[in-house]
Amino acid sequence: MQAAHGRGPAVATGIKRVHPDSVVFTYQGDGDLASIGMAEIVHAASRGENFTVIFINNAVFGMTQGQMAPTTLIGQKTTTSPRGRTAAEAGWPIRICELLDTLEGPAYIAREALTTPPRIRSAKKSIRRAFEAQLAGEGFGIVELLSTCPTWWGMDPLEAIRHIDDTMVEHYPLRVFRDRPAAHDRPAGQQEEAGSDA
Amino acid sequence: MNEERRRVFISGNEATAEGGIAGGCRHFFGYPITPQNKIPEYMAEHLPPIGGVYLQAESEVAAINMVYGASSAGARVMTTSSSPGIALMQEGLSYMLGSELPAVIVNMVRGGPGLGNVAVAQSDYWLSTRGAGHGDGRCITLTPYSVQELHNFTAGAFEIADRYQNIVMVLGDAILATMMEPCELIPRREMEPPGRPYAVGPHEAGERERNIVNSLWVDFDAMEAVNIRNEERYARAAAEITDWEEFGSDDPQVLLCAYGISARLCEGAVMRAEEAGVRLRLLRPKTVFPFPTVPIREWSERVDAMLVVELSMGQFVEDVRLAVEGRCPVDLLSRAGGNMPTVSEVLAKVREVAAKAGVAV
Repeated sequence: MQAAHGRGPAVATGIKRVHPDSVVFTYQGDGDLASIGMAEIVHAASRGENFTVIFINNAVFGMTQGQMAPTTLIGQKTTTSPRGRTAAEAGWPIRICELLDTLEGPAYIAREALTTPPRIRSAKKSIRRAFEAQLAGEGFGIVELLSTCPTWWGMDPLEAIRHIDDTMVEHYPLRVFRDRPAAHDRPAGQQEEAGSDA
Repeated sequence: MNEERRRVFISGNEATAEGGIAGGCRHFFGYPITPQNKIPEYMAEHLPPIGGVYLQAESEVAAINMVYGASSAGARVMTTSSSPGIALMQEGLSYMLGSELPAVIVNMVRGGPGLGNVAVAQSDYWLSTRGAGHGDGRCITLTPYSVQELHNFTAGAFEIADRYQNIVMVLGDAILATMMEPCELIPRREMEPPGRPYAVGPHEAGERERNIVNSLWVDFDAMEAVNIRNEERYARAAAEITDWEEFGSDDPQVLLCAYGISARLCEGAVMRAEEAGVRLRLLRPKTVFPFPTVPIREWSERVDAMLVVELSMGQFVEDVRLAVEGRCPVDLLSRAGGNMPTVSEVLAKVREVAAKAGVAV
């Protein structure tokens, strides 16, 4: 089912309300989810809609060829921030997980990074947990995945991976923000091999 | 089946909402806007107790995309709004036309452009019949003129939407929405299980091919095929469901053309035709897309003139002129902004139109 740009959570709401027993998820980028679809994601999360959101954050509009996204870091050059993003011109990058963590609705919120094998395993675990929350009827789950875009970052793939680990995670800390009914604040990015992912 | 029809005194909004339930709709997504708030309120009251879903969306944009999702999941689904809200829904309407999905949308038209006002208007004729949104796609558009017709047309709209796998727009207005009349209620139809052949949803492995609901066609020919299929739908609809009603002189000198609340007004004018000294007949479309081109064309060869009465600066009149193709003069009486002409003003205009056309009055 192909939704309009940003409307995935509204379309998923419609499907899930017709088929409550089906597993439903959306797959959204950062331009989609954090820009044009901000209202839809916030309200679906707030309603605690029982579906899962996979949120790919690469801090750039990739499909339209490299424009600034709401998640673009300060100083980051894109085709529409050619001198680097400044807060004075374009404001600050938005942290979606932290924003959604202010709501009662979500059951599971985590940010992971697709860089090293341990971090990828951790991401897999978070995705599994978010879907388990849906299967258990606990409600809305979102996993934000920091991902590379070598093409529009102007880097080679290894540089791009290092850029996430060295720079992006400073602004977007890896963390399980919410795991209901389990305990909060499980450290993300290092569940399986704590401390060995550097 | 023992169908004892209950006769009640209700508003157009309530008749519309109950019409949706009668038509088998159990999923409603909406957002408040005057003058149609009684519809979502009615659905919030009545749907959950009978196993239905009422959900207040965060915006009209979200509401129409929830409708898109529910329709793709195979449910009978509707939303209702008023002019500025329908404008916001254009995105979702276009996606549904591109994905060839059914849905029922009710527009209780109010004044515009802009925030306008919440009074009666018929200025969304183009929005409904030329829409929805971008691309080659049209909404089948029904034009009720009473509380009873709001009820019946809304109930029947689901069958039409399913038959053509297309959006059906019910075009009301602020007066029809809020006025109260006696209405005979259609018994509530049971919800159909949401297992449409095109829909996404649960199925056993190997039971059928996986359905994909999509409006993205990168391949030129695939995109054109959708456009052609839609055009074929509209041609079928024109042949099968074009509907109108006529009232008045069998040998008219002037034909009145009006839909919705304006047609109601024109009925009064036809009843008082002798005051104008002109033989008068009313043709009122019940569907404006598909448009009753054929009867209007036929009358254009037999009458001296036509007069269109509408509550906009002239939208519906263009379709009448396209049907007439210059065979007789077509004049326009329009009011806007919440104003309506009186029956006497319609008759005065009829006299003027008749005199201009050389009819002895």
